[in-house]
Amino acid sequence: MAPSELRLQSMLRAMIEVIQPAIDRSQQLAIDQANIMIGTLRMLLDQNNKAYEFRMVELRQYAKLVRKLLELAQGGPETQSSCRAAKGVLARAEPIAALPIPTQAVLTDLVRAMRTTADELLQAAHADGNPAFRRAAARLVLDAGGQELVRERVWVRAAGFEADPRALPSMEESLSLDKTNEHQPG
Amino acid sequence: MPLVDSKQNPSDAFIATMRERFPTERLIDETLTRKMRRRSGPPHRSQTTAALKERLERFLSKRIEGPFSVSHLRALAGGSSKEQFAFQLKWQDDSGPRDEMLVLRMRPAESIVETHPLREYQALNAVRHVIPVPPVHWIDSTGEELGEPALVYGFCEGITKPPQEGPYNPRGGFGEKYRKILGPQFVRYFAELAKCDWSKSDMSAFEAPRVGTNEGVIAQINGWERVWQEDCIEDFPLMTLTAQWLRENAPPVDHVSLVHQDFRGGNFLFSPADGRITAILDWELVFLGDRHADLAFFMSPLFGEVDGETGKMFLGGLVEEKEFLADYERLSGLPIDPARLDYYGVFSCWRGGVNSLATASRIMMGEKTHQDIRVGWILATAPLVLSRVHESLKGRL
Repeated sequence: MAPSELRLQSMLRAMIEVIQPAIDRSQQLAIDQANIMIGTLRMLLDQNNKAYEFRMVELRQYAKLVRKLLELAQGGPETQSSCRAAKGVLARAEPIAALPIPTQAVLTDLVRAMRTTADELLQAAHADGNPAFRRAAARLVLDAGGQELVRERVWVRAAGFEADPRALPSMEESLSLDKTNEHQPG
Repeated sequence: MPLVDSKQNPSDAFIATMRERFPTERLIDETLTRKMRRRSGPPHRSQTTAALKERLERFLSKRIEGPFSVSHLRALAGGSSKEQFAFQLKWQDDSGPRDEMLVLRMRPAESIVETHPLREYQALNAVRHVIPVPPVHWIDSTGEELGEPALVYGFCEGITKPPQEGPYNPRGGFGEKYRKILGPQFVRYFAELAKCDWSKSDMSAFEAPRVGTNEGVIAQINGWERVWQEDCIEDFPLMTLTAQWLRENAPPVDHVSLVHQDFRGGNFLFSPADGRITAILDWELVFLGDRHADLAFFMSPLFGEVDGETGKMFLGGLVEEKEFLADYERLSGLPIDPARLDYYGVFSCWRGGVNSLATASRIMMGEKTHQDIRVGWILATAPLVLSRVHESLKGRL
């Protein structure tokens, strides 16, 4: 997966160095919106890869708040009804909030480490692995590569390079391929 | 502030290891080594028009006797790899007074394809009698005079695609009208390239492989694998597996041709009035080797166009496969070997993977080109071309 910070960085650079300077000075609306675009891109670059973490912090904080409210809640039918509903939602939220979910940066580092490890094993198999391991390593890498490519093609389908984009699975399906391992378009 | 990783500051030891592990043609080695030694340098910043004009005038003063004038210098759009500027030059040569529009084609700090301009210069001169190409006038091989290595050549009139309206569509093809006119011309020039006798031209920037050996394609694989190692941000075991397969199955060459490596729609100009091809462009990747590399690249799934009405697939948006292969053989007098065509299909898609997966990300990371945004777009081609590799290798391993 291409790092999205690189895409955002290149968009920002194109806006600042090429597009904004080329706008006619009489086009005030275009100048105004170009400046907002630059500001928005800077903000997105800053926030990039942190949205998931941000949501997790929100979840933990609200779970804590709701838990405290429930501990203190006393009152009539409306309060009791709200407490029953709150307990149901909290029962769903707290197990998720308690999960030790890695940050995007940690996840990216781990994925890169696994990629390198798989690559080194393949190279080792090719260099001096016994024939059975060498064949198996090649086939496994090829199979995994096939799944990865489907996922990647779906991820960038909107770029418009596919001759028949409808032949690919949906984004949701492609992200569950490691579970089903069934869809293999050509 | 550009993002960085360890390869943005390569050590001398890393550079030396790459050179030793992946022996390739001398000028390719020189070009890649230069790239790595400059990598930790600043991001690309285009020269101002005034500064560039001054350098250009100094450059031309050493090559033109008598008075001359440069005017209307401006940046051109298009192209993913080189910065291009058009300018008007008035001067006098043996043929008398001249007043022409020329093009300055310069390497950015790093390009999606890192190439040496002398190879492009020599190839253009070698083919100019059999294929329409821009007349190449002058070269700055090292960049000492113009700031970066560059060529100056004649401006050619024409368009690369029929005008389109609406949102950007990379698959916007030629349409039936132009396809019928352009297809036969394109195939004829394709065949001319394969049979072109380059041996009488100055090809000192190239190393020709010996017929009957696979040394040429091995040198090519070495060059591209080196680029992969130097540029990739993340490992991709399928790329390694493919390189292994390419080495083990490298076929001997039966006839050494000039191979363009980017011979397709979008890389030639034609007149919208009559559909005449006016110039074949972008010779930077040219090498001496097997014609099947060009054929397979042109047949890549990336460039195919399906006719909306008939459902027929047109290679490169120009010609149907059966007709293309038959006409190519007849016009070139050279046979097409299906096994080599298949091999080079894998090779060209793997090479496309190197460019798009490794180099595109790398030069975006360093802000090394004027076209970061465009090469970022090209990144999206990687999974499609590698799917062709995957399909080919299935059942063979």
